[in-house]
Formats: sequence, structure tokens, C-alpha cells
Amino acid sequence: MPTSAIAFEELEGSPTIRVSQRGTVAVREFRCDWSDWPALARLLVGDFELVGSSPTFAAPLEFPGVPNLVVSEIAVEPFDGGAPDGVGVTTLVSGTNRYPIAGARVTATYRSLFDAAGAARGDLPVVPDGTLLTYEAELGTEAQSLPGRTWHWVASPTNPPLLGDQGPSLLIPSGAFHLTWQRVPLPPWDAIRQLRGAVNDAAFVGSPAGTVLFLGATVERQFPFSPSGGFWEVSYTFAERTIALDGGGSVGWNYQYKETPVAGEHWVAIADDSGNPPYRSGDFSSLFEFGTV
Amino acid sequence: MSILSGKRGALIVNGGTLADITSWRFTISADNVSFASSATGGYRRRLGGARHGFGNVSFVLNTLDAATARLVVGDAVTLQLNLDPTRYYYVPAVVDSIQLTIDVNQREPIRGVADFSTNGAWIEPNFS
Repeated sequence: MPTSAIAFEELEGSPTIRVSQRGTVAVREFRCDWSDWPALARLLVGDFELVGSSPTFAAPLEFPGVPNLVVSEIAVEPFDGGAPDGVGVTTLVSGTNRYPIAGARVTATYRSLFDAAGAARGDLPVVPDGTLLTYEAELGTEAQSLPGRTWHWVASPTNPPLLGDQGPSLLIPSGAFHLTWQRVPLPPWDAIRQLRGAVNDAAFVGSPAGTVLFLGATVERQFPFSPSGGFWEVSYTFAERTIALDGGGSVGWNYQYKETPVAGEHWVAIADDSGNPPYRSGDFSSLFEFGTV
Repeated sequence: MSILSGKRGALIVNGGTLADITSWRFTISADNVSFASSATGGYRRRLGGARHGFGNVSFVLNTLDAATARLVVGDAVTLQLNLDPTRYYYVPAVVDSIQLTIDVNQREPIRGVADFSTNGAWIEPNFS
């Protein structure tokens, strides 16, 4: 991790900023010594080093004066490509051209990547400083077939029951949401494995206990150029099933529709002979803590 | 250092002296880069770029001079541009063009101009 100051200057024509409905993109251009561009890039995108088994962070730098913008991409090129110093280029792997006189042009692209301190949605999990969390949701539905004998026609005075082959289908609105955790040095691989297929044992992202099912994670490398190996982008996917009870409150994945209501409720919890529900519960907070080395 | 006269100027092409030159010219320049930034306080800075040069030699055509034959368009040559016998530019170059002028009416000697551009680093004279 760079510990000394890096001399740089911001070039004419920089920055440029584009604001759109889906976010903001800003670009800044800097000039620095050719030998300093790797350190400058690590300062901009963030870096970490392991001290024992604990990661020590340098958070990605935000765009000054505009919230929620962090560096997402770095481009480096010679400031004056017409004056290379090729002394180190003796083989294909011995080195590259250097530019000791004019240095490097470093172009940093900033993008909207997170809700600052969860301001837009105050119930997101808290992640370690220096990492970022974004939220994205989409629709889902679940269709449940019900036996016709449970229902009758609203046709007085007899209100006849439905026939056996006239079972209605109940469409239960549900949802899926993704929490993408970025710039993660050590993903919690064990927690991901253990919690896959579990439901939340406490309120999670505004949903009551038992209503959010953890489906798993997709993982991708981020900024692997760093000597520390870079970061990971961990995208968690959850399925939400929230069924409102007539008497108030909501239930989720361990409830099924019962023909004969219990205390006025058709949606009743189910369990096997050992008392186990279909889905076990788990503490999702460990998904947002660093793993171990 | 004293003021030098051009009368002792000479041009040597690939080791052979070009006999009847009337003048030579050599221009050196650099592709400098200028820019303004957060650190230049409203002014533009300039950084030295790659150096290159070009020039020409004017001569009277002498068919007995073997050095004249060394001036072939497109060829890479080594030019020694003498200011005097001890001070010279030693210039790898490429011949860009050769122009001959034949004045039938005035019966002047046939004259030529050869243009060249530098081809890599050159050695400059020592003026100390």
C-alpha cells in the first residue's frame, strides 16, 4: 500500500461529469511520473494488505464534491507517446517503454456505486469501511393451486361449493433482490456455503424473519492488478416471500395454505415429524463480514 | 571561440567528400508538448519531446565526383556536415529528394539541391 505522497497534477479539460437517471459518470485526467502510475492507481481504486490475518484497507477515493462516486476504471497512457525510453526493452518480458520526461496520463472514471451510508434505504446490512454495497430488486410470483372443496360460490341463498376439478390458483406476489458487495478482500466463503438455502432468523432488509431465502452468491474478481491480489465482487441473491396474515403480521417460506383455517388463518407453519420446518434459519449478518485467510 | 567563416564548410557522404557544394543547411527541432494543469497557475508548461532534424545541401554537379553518386533518393546515408575541418555534425540521414536545375539559356553550371532528414541520433560539434 502506498505510504508516500505521489506527485500529480490534474490536466486541462478535466474533469467531465455526466448526470443521468441511472447514475453519474465523471472522468478526471492526471499527469504523474511514469514510475508512479501503479501507486496512483491503487490510491484511486483502493487497496488492502494483510497484517497477519486481518486486511488493512485504503478505501477507494470519492469524487470531490459529488457524493456516491468512486473510481471504477483506470486508463494509463504515455503523456507524450512520441518520446519513449526503451532502454529496458531487451526481450518481450524484460520491460516496457518508459516515459521519464513527460510521464503518464492517468484517466480515472468514477461511477455511482453505492447509497452513501444507506441514505436511500436505511435497512441495508452494514459492511466494513472501505467496501461498498448496492441494492437491486426485481419482481417474482408464486402460483399455488388450491382444492376446490375449500371454496364456494358467492351465490345466495345456497352458496354452492366448487367442484373438485374447479380448484382456483392463487398467485402470490414475491420478489428477488440482490445485494452486491464490492471491493471485498476476503469473501466469507464458509458463511456463503452454510447459509445457502436458509431463511433469515431476524428482520433483513425490511422483511420479517422467515421471509427471505438466501439463494447463493455469484463472485467475480475486481482490480486484480494490485499486488495484494485485488478485490472480489460478491453478489448475493435472495428470494422474498411475504404473505400477509389476516390477523396482522407476515409469514414466509415455512408456511403453507391450509384448507381449514387455524385461529382464522389459512397460512399455517409446517414441520416434519422431528419438528423441523422445510427451511432452516440463519443469521445473514455473517454474509457481510470478511472471511478468514 | 572565434567567428567562423563558411568558406571551410564541407559535406562528406558515407566517407566521401562531396566536391562542389555551395552551401548546406541543417535544422534541429524537438516535438515538445505543451499543457496547462492544476499546477501551472494559468500558464502553459512545455516538456521536451523527441528530437529530429532536416536539411539540404546545394551543389554544382560534377560527374567526376563519386560522392555525388552517393546521393540517391530514399537511401540511408551518413552525412558529416563540416563547419570547419575540426567541427562537424555527424548525422545519420535519409535522402528525401534531389532537385537538379539546368539553365539552357544562361549556360550556367548544372546545380542541385539534396534534401535530407535525420535518421536517429546525431553527434553535434564540440564548441569548447
